[in-house]
Amino acid sequence: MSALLEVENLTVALPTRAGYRNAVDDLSLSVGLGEVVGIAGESGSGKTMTALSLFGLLPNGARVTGSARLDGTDLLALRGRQLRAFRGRQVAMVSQDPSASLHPILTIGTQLTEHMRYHLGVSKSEAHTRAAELLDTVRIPDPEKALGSYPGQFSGGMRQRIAIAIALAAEPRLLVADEPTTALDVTVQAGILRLLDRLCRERDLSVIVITHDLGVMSALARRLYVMYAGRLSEAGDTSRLLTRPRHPYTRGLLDALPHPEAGQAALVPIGGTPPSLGAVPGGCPFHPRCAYAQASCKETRPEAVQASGETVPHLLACPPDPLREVVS
Amino acid sequence: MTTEPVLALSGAAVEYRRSGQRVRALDGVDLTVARGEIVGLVGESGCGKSTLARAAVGLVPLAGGTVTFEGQPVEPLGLRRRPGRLRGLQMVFQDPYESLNPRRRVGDLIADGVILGGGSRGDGRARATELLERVGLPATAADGYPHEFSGGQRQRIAIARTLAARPSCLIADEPISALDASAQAQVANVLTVLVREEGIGLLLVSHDLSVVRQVADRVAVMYLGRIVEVGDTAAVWSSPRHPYTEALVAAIPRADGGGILPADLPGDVPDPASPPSGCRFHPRCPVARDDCAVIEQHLVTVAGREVACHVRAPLPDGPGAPGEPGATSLCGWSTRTSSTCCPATCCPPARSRPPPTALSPRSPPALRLACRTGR
Repeated sequence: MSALLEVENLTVALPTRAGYRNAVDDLSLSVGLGEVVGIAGESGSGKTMTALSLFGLLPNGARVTGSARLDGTDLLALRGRQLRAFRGRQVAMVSQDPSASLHPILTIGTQLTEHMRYHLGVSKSEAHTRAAELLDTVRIPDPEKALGSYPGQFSGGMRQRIAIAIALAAEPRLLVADEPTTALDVTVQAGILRLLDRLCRERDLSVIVITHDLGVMSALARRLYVMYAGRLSEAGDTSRLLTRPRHPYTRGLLDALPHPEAGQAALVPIGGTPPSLGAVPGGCPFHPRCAYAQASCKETRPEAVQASGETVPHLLACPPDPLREVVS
Repeated sequence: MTTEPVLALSGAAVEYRRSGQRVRALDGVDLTVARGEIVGLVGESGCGKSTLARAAVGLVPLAGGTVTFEGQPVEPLGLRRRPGRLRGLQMVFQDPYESLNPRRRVGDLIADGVILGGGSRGDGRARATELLERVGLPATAADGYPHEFSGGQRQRIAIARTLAARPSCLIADEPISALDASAQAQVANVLTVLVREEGIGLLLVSHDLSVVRQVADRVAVMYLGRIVEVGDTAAVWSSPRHPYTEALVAAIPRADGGGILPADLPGDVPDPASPPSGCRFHPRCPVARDDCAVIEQHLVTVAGREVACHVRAPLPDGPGAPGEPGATSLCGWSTRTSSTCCPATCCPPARSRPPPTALSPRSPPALRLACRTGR
C-alpha cells in the first residue's frame, strides 16, 4: 500500500508559562490509501494537536517543525490561499461534538453545499443534488427535507452523520475523525463505525481515527499508534497491539478496560495521572507510572524503533522491553 | 445484603412540560436497591436514566408512584431544607468540573456534610482528611482548590463529599463518563470498594455498558422511560432476553484486536412526547410482530429475571409463546417465530404481501419489508 500521508518528525511546541513545551514530540506516522489508522492515548497525549497541525488550526503562538506530506505536498508549509485550497478539499475533519461543530442557524443544505461549490465549482442545483446524495449515503432519512432543516432538529447520532457528510462533501482523500463517537451512545456509535468502514471501502478514503477507546480502534483501525505525553510509545498492527502489547503503557490501557471475559475482577487502573504539558518527566515520560521502570528509564528518552522479534513493522519506545518474554 | 431495600421506586413517573406539551420522561418504573448492592442502570441517551436518578433523590417531583428511602417517602426538594432523615441518600453528579464549588477548599467542601450532621468544624476537617485517604487521595488535598486536581481526582473528591454525610444509599449519575480510561477504572474501583465495605447501596447510572457489567450486581435496562429488563448482570449479559438489551450488548466494540464491527441498531430513540403505542421499542425491534404495536408490555419474570417483551418472554399461558402451535410469526407465513425464521424452509416463494392478520393496526414504515428476511 502506497502511503497517502507521510508525517515525519512532527513537533508542535506550545507556549506555556514556563516557555515553549512540546505537545507533540518528534512524531512520525504514515497513512496508506484507503487505510484506517488509529491514534490512541489519554487526554493530553498530543492526539488532537497532531490532527490540528494537519489543518493549520493550531492555537496562536504554536511552533511547528517537521513535515506532513500528502502526495508530496507539505501540509505544514501551506499558507493562505494554498491552505484554503487544501483544507476541506484534500483533508477534512470530523470533530467530537456535532452540536458544536454544526452552525445552529444555517440550514443543513447551506452548510453542506457552501464549500462544495467553492472547491468543486459546481452549480447551485448540482450542489443540491450532490448534497442530497451525500445525505442518503450517510443514511439520513428523507434527504430533501433534511437539506432545509436546522441542526437542532436532529439527534446527536444524526448530527454526527451530517458532520461526516459535510466533511465528505468536497471529496477529500483523507478524513481526520477526532473522537467521532465519544459523545454518542453505543448503538449510535456502532452505526457511525459501520458508516466510516463502508466509506473507506467504497471510496478509497483514508481515515485517521483519534480516540482513547480501544474498542473503537479494534473495530475500525488497521494500524494503531499509541501516544503518551506527545511521544509515540508503540505502533503496529491493531490486532497484534491489542492482543500482545509490548509497551507497558499499552498494556496498562488495556488492563484498565473492562473485559467481557474478566468477570467481576476489579479494573486495574494505571497509577498516577498523565503529566501536564509543563511537567513532562525527563527520560521516558511514562516512567513514574510504569511498573517495570528501571534506573535507565529516568535518564534516556527512548526512541521508537522496530521491536525485536517482530516480523511485521512494530515500533516500540521501550528499551528494557519487559513484556517481551510475556508475549513470546 | 439485607432483604429490605434501602431505596425503592414503585410505579414512579415523572412528567416535564415542554411548550405546553406534557412529556412523560419516566413512566411507571419499579426498581429497588439493597444495602451493599450495586444496581446498574443503562440505556441510550434520552431514555430517562438521569430523570430516574434525580427523581430517586427528590430533585424532581413525581407525577405518580412513590420513592421510598429506608421505608420513608422521599419528598421532592422544595424551598425548604431537605429533611435530615434523607441525609443518607446522596448523589454523585456526572461532571466533577461543575459539581464542586471552585472557590472553596476541598476540605471545606467535604466538611459541610459533617457539619450539617451536627459535627463541629474541627470534626469536619478531621473527617475530610480521613475520607480523602479513603478514596485514595493524600490528606494534603484538603488544602487545595478543585481546579488543582484532574477529572478523576475531582470525581473522587465528589465521592468523598457524599461520604461525609454517612450515606446508606448513593445515586451516581454517569460518574465516570467524563473521565479518561485509566481514571474511569480508578473511580469505578473506589465506588465498588465503598459499597462492599460500608454496605452502601449504589445505583450506578451509565451509558457505558462495559463498566456497568464489570461492577454491578444487578442491571436494569431502560428504554424510553420504562424498564425493559432487570436481572443479574452476568445473566443479562450472557443471554439477554429483551431484543433491546441484545442490541445494546451487541453494539459494544471489543478491544480484542479482532477487527469486528459492532452490530448496528437502526433508528433513534423516539421523542418521549409521542412514544410509540404498545411496546415502545417495536419500531426499531428486529423481532417485532404486528401485535407489538397494540399490546402494552409489562415486566414478566422469566428464568430469574424480569423482561418486558411478549415475544421473547411470553406470559406462562398467554398467547404467542414461541414454539407453540398457532404462534404468529412476523411474516405471517412461517409457523416459527421470527427469531428462528428460516426462509429457505418455511416461507413460500414471495408472491404477494402476506395475508393481513387481524392484528395489524400499525401502518408499516415505508421501507419495511413484508418479511424480515427480504423475501
